[in-house]
Amino acid sequence: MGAIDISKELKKYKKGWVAFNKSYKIIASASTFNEINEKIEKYKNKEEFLLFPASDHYFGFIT
Amino acid sequence: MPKYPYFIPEANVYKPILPVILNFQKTHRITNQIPALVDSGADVCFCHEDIANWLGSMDQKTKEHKEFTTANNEKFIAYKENISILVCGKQYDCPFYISKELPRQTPIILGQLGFFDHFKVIFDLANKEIEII
Repeated sequence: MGAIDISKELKKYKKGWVAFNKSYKIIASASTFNEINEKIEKYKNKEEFLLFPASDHYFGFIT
Repeated sequence: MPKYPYFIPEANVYKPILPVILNFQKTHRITNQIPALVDSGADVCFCHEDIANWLGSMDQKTKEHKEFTTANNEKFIAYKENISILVCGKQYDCPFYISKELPRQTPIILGQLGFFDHFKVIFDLANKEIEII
């Protein structure tokens, strides 16, 4: 199956939220969860989008 | 057996993430797909306050509050809210604990109560997939 590598797309974004389309391309970004939802309102296929938190790092978490 | 891919948000970082949809029946608001970290070390499920607020959940004193401890021994308080979750093709009411203290990289955490009590989970990092039964 292989993992879904979104690292290259995410690299351009350090904070806030992004919206991925089905091909895992970023089609919108915003600073807050409310704003990203407002930004994707205009898309007819918005229910296909994955909203993902942007960060400058994802490594180093212990839970 | 349904299998779901790991996500790579940063080079050499592999996350067992499942896309989920949350549905808050009190307000009829439904999220888009959002990433949820499958975390066998978490006792319960968590949801970041930003998402809960968007859904229309309000932190009320009448709700059940609990104290949690992070891996570095810090404490935080979260309140309980039942939110419907659609995950791995199954929809059910899930008791989420809402907090603004969650790392923003992991706004949803699927823990033992609320997720692992609904599914059998096999982490297969060698094949970069999670098997959910």
